[in-house]
Amino acid sequence: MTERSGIDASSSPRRKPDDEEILRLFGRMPDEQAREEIVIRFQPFAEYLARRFGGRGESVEDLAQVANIGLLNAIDRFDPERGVQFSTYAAATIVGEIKRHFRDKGWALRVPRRLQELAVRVNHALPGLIQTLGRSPTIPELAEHLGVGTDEIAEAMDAVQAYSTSSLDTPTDEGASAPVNALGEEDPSLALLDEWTTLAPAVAELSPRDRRVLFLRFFRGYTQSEIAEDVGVSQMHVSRILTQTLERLRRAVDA
Amino acid sequence: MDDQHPLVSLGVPADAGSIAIVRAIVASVASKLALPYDAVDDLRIAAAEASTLLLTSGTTGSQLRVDLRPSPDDLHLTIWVTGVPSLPADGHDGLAWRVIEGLADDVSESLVEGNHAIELRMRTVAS
Repeated sequence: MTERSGIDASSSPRRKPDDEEILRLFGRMPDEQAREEIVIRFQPFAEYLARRFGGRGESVEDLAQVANIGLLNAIDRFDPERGVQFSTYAAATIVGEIKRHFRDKGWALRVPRRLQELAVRVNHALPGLIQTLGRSPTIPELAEHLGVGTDEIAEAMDAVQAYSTSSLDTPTDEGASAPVNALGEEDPSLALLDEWTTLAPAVAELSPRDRRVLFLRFFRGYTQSEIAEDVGVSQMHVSRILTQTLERLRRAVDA
Repeated sequence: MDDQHPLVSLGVPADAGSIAIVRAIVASVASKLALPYDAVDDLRIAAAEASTLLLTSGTTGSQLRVDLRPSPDDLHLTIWVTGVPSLPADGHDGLAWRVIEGLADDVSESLVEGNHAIELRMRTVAS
C-alpha cells in the first residue's frame, strides 16, 4: 500500500484496490459494468469502515448497508479530475453517511421520558381492558382509563416505534422469555409466506417470530392483540415488529 | 361531515421525509374516534405504505396530499400525490399493496383531479 488516506485502510483485511486500476475504471464511467467493478472492489473497504462503528447499538449488518449506500454515493459523485484519490474520497463519504445515520437514529431515540412512561402504562393497561371489553380498547377509552389526553396516547404510540431495533430480539418483560424458541422451526403455515418470498426475498431472512407475526396479520387476519397473545409478547411489541419488519422489507425491495 | 368531525386536509412535500408527518396526523385524528387501538396503528402503517407506493410510482410528484374524513362510523383517508396519475403496472402485485389491503378495513382507488388516489377506510367499534 503506497498511499494512506485519513482513514487507515492498511489494517483492513484486504488491500485497498490499486488506484491506477480504479482510475481506469472511472474513465469508463458511466458504464454500468465499470461501476459494478468499483463497487465490488470497494465493498470490503466499506464493510470494514462499518465494523469500526459497531458496538454502538446498531447491528454491523445495518451499518454495512449504510456504508454501501455511502460507497454508491461516492462513486456517483467522484470527480477524477480533482486529483483526490478515490479511496480517500470514498472513506470520507462512507464515514459521513454512517455518522449521519447515527445522528438521525439518535434523534429518533431521544423520546421524552413522560412518553416512554406513558407507553409502559398503556402496555400494562391493554390486557385488562381487552378482557373487560372483549375487544381492543379505543384510544378515548384508554385515555379515560389512564387519565390522560387522546393526543398523548397517539404521541406515545409514535414513541414506541422510536425504540432501537436491537431491542426486538431481547426478551420482553411479560414472562415470555423465549417466544422465538416456542414457535419452533417446523410451522407448516409459514410455507404460505412463500408467496411473499417471491415478492421480497428478504422475507426468508426474517426471524421465525417476525415471519409468524407477518403471517398471522396478513394471511390469517389476526389483530395485533391476538398476535400478541399467540406469540407471547405485548401488543406494542407486535406493533413494533410489524412496523420495523415492513420497513426492512421495503428497503430490501427498493434496493 | 358534522361539526364535531371536520375534514382534515394535509399537504406536504412529496418526499419520503413527509411520511412521518402523515403517520403522526393519522394517529392524532384517529385517536379521537372510537377506533380500536390496534386499528389506529394498522391505519398508520397502511397510510405510510400507500404514501410510499405513490411516492415510488416512477413519476415525480410535487405534493403528497391526505384528506382525512372522520365520522362516527369510520375514518376515511384519501391519499394522492399531485402529478402522479397512475400506479406502476405491477403496483398491485407487490408487498406494499398486500400490506395496505391486509391492514385497512376497505381499500379502493379513485382519481382526484387527475391524480391516482388510494382510499383507506377503518371502521369504528360503533359501526
